[in-house]
Amino acid sequence: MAAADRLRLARSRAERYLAALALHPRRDPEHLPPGVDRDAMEAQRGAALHAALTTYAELELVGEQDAAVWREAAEGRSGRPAQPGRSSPQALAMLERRWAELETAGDPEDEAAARQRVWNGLFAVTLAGALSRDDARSWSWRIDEQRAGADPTAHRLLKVRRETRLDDLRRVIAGPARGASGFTVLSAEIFADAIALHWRRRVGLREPFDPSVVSLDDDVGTDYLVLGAGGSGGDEDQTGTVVFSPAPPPDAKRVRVVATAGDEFELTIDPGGIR
Amino acid sequence: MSIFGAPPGVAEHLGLLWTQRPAAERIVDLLAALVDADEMSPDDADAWLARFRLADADGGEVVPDLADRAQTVVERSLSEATDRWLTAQQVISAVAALGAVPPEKSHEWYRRLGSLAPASHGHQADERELRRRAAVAAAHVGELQRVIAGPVKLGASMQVTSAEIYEGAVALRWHYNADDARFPPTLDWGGVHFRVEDELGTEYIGRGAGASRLDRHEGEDAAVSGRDVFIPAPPPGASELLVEYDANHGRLNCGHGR
Repeated sequence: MAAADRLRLARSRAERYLAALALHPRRDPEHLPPGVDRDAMEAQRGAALHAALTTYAELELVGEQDAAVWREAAEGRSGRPAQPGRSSPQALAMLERRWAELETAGDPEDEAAARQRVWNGLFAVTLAGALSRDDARSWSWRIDEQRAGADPTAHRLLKVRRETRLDDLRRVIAGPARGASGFTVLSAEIFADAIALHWRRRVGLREPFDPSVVSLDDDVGTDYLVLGAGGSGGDEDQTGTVVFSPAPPPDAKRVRVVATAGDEFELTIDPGGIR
Repeated sequence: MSIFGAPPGVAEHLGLLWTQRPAAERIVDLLAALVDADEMSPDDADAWLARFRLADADGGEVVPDLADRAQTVVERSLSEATDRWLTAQQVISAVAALGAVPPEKSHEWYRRLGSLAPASHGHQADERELRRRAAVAAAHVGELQRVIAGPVKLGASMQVTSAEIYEGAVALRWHYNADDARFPPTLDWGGVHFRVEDELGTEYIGRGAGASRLDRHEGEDAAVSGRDVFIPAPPPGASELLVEYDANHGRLNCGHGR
């Protein structure tokens, strides 16, 4: 590699390092996930940016003017993109053009690629703050519904996801109930419109685990849909939650939880228990 | 240099993608959409694509041309590190990012810096907090002992739904309903939401927390559920946990003897 190319590479690395510090989105403290102290994070990031700019200036990778641009960028970070009251007509026109390509797509592969292009377009103009909240939402639904096609289960899931509120907690049923595979049901929270199962899993079981495979059924034949599933953990264990809709109906006495590797649990509603 | 030929949110996103070095082709369609929507000029889109392509071509080669000067900068920082420890760490990180020296050389700089006493760091309050966090992180969370059912309401939006008692720790599960899709505010470095006490005066230290939000597609509200972990576990004599959130107080029976 020629000396000029090596220098160009070093400048690219310096710029990427500065970008990580200067362009990291500033977020309102209320929007930060737990565990993140914004003031401390911002102070540390500002000090690191200053140290990097000073270092790179000394190494002649960044000039004074460039340093000012990076500082200005760090100062001007905007956080979540603003959503205007009215969408940009150009943004809407771009989405319509991409939608037209989706409607004329031939085979499933072309259709998936065209749908992805609509998503990319939606993502781009949302990031740019060029779409109103209402338009962003209606475009998101439009794409979801197109993807659901004629599948009634997919349409039901879309509807349930839009409508489930989880704002009326009726009761909590405590475990733990441990399965032979190491999967443990910790507790169940029964809301008016959903049921959340909290689980734990010992990690010695190194194989990947998809919590959305956990399923429910009950003694009155309720059809439960997984609304959301996730988990986190470290070297020792993992814990997470699976949320199902609907809630067990009033006449359900027992709910069966089917986890992994043949583990099954029974949730009794009244009196509450898990075994 | 202009890196911002785009609305701020776009520049920030592109900047972060740039640092993660995805294949440049992955952003081609994103840039095309921005140009098509008049949110970015074609020239600026080309400039962003060129940056991504240059990052793509970076095979991690050492750039020795800068090694001597980089060494000088780092040595000076290390010599001042007793007074400016964090600055020295930041300088080493900035130099390491350039690939001007082999990784083992950067590691050696970090090792030398690490051999300096933590008490010499610049920000004493931060350093104390970091030491506290390290001690908490080192605490062992063992087997699950029992689960105590709530809920305990702590104001209009927050409730503790259950407490999981482990060997050496207690985890509070919580559920929060917000009308503006926000996460509930946290208390301190540990990122926890609650102050926890018991009648024995046990000091419960937030070890960490996690949460996820279920966004609804209608309205601006959201449900957030999470889990805060505290060290230690309630001692055998403690009959209940006193939990405070945003000046609201509640009690959870410790469930000893269940």
